[in-house]
Amino acid sequence: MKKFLITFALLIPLSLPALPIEGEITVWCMGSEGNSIPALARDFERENPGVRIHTQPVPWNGAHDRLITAVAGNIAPDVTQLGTTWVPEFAAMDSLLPLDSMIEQSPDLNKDDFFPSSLATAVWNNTTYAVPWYVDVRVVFYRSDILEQAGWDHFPETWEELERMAAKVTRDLDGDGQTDQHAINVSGRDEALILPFIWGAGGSVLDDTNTRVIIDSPETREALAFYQSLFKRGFTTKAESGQIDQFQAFRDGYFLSWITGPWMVGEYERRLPDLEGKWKVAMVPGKKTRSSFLGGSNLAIFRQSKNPGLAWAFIEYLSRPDVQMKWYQITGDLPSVRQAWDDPSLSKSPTWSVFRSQLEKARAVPAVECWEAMAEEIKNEMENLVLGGTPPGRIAEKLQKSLERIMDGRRSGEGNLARRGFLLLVLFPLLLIAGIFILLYRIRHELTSWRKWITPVLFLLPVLVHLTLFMFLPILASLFLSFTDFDIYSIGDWRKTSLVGVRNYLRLIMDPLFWQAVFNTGYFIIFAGPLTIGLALGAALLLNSPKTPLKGFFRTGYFLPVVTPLIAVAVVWRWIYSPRHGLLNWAIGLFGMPEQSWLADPALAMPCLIILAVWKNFGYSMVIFLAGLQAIPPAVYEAASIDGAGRWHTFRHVTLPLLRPTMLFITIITTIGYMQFFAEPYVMTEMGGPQNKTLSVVLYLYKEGFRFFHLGYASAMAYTLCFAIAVLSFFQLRWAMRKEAM
Amino acid sequence: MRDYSLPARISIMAILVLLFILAVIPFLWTITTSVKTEEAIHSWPPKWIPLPMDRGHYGELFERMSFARNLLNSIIVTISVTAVSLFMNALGGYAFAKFRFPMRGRIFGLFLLTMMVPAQVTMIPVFLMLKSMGLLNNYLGLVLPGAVSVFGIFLMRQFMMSIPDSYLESARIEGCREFRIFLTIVLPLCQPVLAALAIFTFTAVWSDFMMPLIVMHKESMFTLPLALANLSGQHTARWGLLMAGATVTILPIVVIFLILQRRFIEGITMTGLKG
Repeated sequence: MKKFLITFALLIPLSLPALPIEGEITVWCMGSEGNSIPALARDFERENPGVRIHTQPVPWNGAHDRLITAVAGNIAPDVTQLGTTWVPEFAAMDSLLPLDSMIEQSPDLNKDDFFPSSLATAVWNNTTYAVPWYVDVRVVFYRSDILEQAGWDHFPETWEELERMAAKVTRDLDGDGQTDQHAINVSGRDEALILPFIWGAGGSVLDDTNTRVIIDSPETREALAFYQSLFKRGFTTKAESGQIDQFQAFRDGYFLSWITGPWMVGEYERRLPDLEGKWKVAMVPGKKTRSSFLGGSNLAIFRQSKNPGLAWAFIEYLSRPDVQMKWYQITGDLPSVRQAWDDPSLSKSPTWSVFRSQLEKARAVPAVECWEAMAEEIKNEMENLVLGGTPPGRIAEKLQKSLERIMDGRRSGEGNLARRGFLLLVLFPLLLIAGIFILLYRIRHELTSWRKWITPVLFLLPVLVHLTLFMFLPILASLFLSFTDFDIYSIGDWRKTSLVGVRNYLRLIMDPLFWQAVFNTGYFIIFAGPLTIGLALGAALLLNSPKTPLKGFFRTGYFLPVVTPLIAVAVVWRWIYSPRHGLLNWAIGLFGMPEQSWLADPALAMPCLIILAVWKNFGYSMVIFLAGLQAIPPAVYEAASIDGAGRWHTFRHVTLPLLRPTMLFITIITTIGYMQFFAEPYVMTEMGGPQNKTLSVVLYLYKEGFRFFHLGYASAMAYTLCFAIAVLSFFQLRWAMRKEAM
Repeated sequence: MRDYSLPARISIMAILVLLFILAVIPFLWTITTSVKTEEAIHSWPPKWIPLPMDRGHYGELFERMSFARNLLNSIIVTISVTAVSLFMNALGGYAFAKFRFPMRGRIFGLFLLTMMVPAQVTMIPVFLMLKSMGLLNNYLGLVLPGAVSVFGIFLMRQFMMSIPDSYLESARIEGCREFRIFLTIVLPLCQPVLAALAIFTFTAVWSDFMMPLIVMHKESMFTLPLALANLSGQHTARWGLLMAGATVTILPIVVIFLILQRRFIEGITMTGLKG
């Protein structure tokens, strides 16, 4: 039988007409792969004259959203690199070409060539939608020199050993009360760091068939407790990546080990040449097994591809062991094909053999399309675990419940929109026509004198057409969406959408995260609003006093933050708030205050963003206040002065009342702007961390809409927000008018 | 008003200077770090003077990456959106300010209401529409949606209301056509508010991140904020390189602001914003 199969397999490629390898395709690659892929594309073009490979680099952050919008917009590339966790999602959207038959027919490719956990990331519902391109696996990088001095000739292999080692090396070297040598550096937010511990204890998120949530187990609880103890006992730093310079910290021995990926080998060799020979890698310590997190990237073909033959040929080429080796030499990406690992440059190296052993024991995240949402829950609970100190048992229970809810939320089959669609098709135009008729009827008297108003209408027409297209229709479209369950399944096939009435709105009211976002937004407005306005008014008053020199100079300085792009100033503010070697820690250090972890600290993160927002925005209000102040005629002040009014009296009873209109305008503008508070946490706190303490309503909306593509739910949130803004502005106006009247 | 006493004046100065330092320091830090050597960047306590200078980061940005092209994209997009939207908003504002027509108040109110709608609401429908028009990866894909702003219409209307009707009437009596009146009389009178709105639009478009993110999918079409986000994603802690990218993004807008700031402040003062 086996022999027969092999013969059969050999025969197929001969018996089938070869798919044509000609024409051109577009290939999207993320991050640094995007910059390196042209080299291989040129080689491939040389081997296959007449073909053209267009490569397109895509930044990792935003890549997921970009791919989804590309699929929705029918402008997806032929071949794309996909993060290992993304395959199920894009397969569920029915956007990827199934590759099983192509792999079976391929003379060069065999499923056994790949590491099993790596191949598992490319399979969804028993169908293979991608081919592993490269793998990465997290291992421990550690300072062998310092550990050796402390009496450890190898990195701990078990948790008990790790604990003993950590207790010994975690120290306050200079005696200032701050730990400046941590045993390890694990994250309170990255699920790739906690999963190895859960797996290592023998626990798992889903069962083997990926259908049942089994995260609440004694094994998981044990792993969570251990992970929590790393934080409780101060063995790990509390800084998240991007908040400290990891290289510098590793060089200084601020932390002695951390779990990270193979890309760090090259980075260390290049950027820390002075540390050569002082660091080593080791497998992740375990309880039952030394598991780790397997990631990497797969290659997939979109259904939209017009040239799947060439696309497949290119994927086959990239999977050839010699090409995989070449790719490794260019980028350092580890081959997904086992044969490539026999190359002496990998098999003979002590570093890479550790990776190879870890690869065989590593696991990937379960291949389910709702993984992103699950990972989000895990991240949130991780923060509660390490920052909030919630007991592990409680965390495990909560995770079990929330992950089950996500699993149950998956749908299949037809929605009811197609069936009820005809109703809408009739109703919607009817309503529209009725509306126009009512309108025309109401202005019928004016219609006879059309000459009078045809001119203004012509002036208004371009604006009206534009706003209808880009504002009113989209607003209506998303209003409609808010009554449906439109999500990624609908993007693949709109018939899977159902009308759900007000269910999205009901769910919103019951969603604790939404209320957390409302609270955060309120917190932000209540502090940032008055601070911005107060600072602006103060600065304006000082600048307005007649004897102040260099007015223009100061005004310019205060206004500078207003004109600069947030994304650009965020770079420097991230450094200002960096927990290590950050400017703010340096500044408070001058006053002898202890270092803080700022954006990583749940209590401080929001104040940090408030300061940033006040800094960025007060200049705008100040300029408007200045204008308001200058409009107050000097005679008024003279009169006050003659009446013997003091400075405070003049301000309280002359300046302030005359400034009221300006004040009202600024208050409304600032409140509306701050209610839509979004960009600051988007760029500064990795989408609303820590512990969702900086998650704003608009950010939550964005996440639901463009990360998880729950467009129906997100639209409902958008409308709720609109409503809130309208109500608030209304009351502000009413309040102001009442005061005016008094 | 009476003069402040000397100590009061000194303390006012002190506050102003302190505020100035706080407002400006992040920019100084950005610019100086961008020309520091790697060694100086990592020195602790921080080094404020970037000597010796190292322009390597800029070399990397412009030679190995596509920042020159991204800069050009930003300039093209920003200038076109500003020019087109100025004209369109002026048209709209003029209609509301100087003419009576049925439902004027309601239409204007409806326009103002859209200012409260978060941009995220319209994003997906707008994206699908641009795609069906084939405008993705195209400058027009950014220029078209940005061509009208309700805030701009509002601003223009407020200002134009202050233009006396008699100017327009006398032109009409002389037989001037309506569009000519708009071009030759109204627009020149609006110069201050046009300048203010121009700078306003310019800064907003220059800083915009969301629209380019969904419209531009090719690196050669990225605007600077996108390119910078791309850079931060790839090199998380390479402060020198990131700061150089931030400087390239910040500097043009700052220079323009410094040159035109007087107009901007005049413009804001003269629009009815004060009440």
